[in-house]
Amino acid sequence: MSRVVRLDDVWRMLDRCLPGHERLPKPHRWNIRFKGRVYHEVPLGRHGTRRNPEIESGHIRGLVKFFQIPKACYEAFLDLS
Amino acid sequence: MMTEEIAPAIGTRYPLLFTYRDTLFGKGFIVEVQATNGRALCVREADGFWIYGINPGGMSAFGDDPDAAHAAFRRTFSGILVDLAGDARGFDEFRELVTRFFEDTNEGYEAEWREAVEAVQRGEVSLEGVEIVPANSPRSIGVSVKPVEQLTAQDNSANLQYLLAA
Repeated sequence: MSRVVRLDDVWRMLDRCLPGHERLPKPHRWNIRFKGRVYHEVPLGRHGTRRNPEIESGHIRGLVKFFQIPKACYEAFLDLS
Repeated sequence: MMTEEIAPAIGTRYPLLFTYRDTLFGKGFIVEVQATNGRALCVREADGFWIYGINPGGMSAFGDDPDAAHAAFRRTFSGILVDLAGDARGFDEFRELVTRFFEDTNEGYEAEWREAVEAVQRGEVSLEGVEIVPANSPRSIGVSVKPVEQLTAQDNSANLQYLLAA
């Protein structure tokens, strides 16, 4: 069983730590675009686009590394350990 | 099966190279995408095995073992190509989107990928049944129109091979 985080917490983290990003809904995932770069794999959640789903935290580890978001910023919103 | 006989320690990292071929439909075209020696980092995390793309950098996947994680990574790669085909207004734009996707490096994990390569070179890390190849194997992405008369039954099969970089 993979560890999870709440999607709303991811959005709050991105609002604070990656201001100016765009959230682009796709049929099976969210894309996050920032300064011309795109992280393609933020899941919708296990049951699709329901409100504030749990998503596997590893996808967000990949995201914060991709955009090089400082741990000091994201850890106020998410436990990605 | 490409699995460890002994469960690796949490934090163990495997530098992977993968080669995929996809055939898919876009707006008015059939296209073949050939990704050669893409880079990815497989990490034994507390909850299982995660694969983080290096090139392409903007994706990740999870599995209970390296094979399962790689199968999920492969499915996600194809799914993203389908998304890009849906975004593109024509073949040229699709090729540009795919190239940008593949070449965009996850620099946050790239140093760990290189450290993992060195660990494989020292013989500290291996995956049973997985071939070791040079880490500097040339990487490329090819996107080409696929004429209908060139389609074969092989276009239906997904290739699932991955290799360990050293």
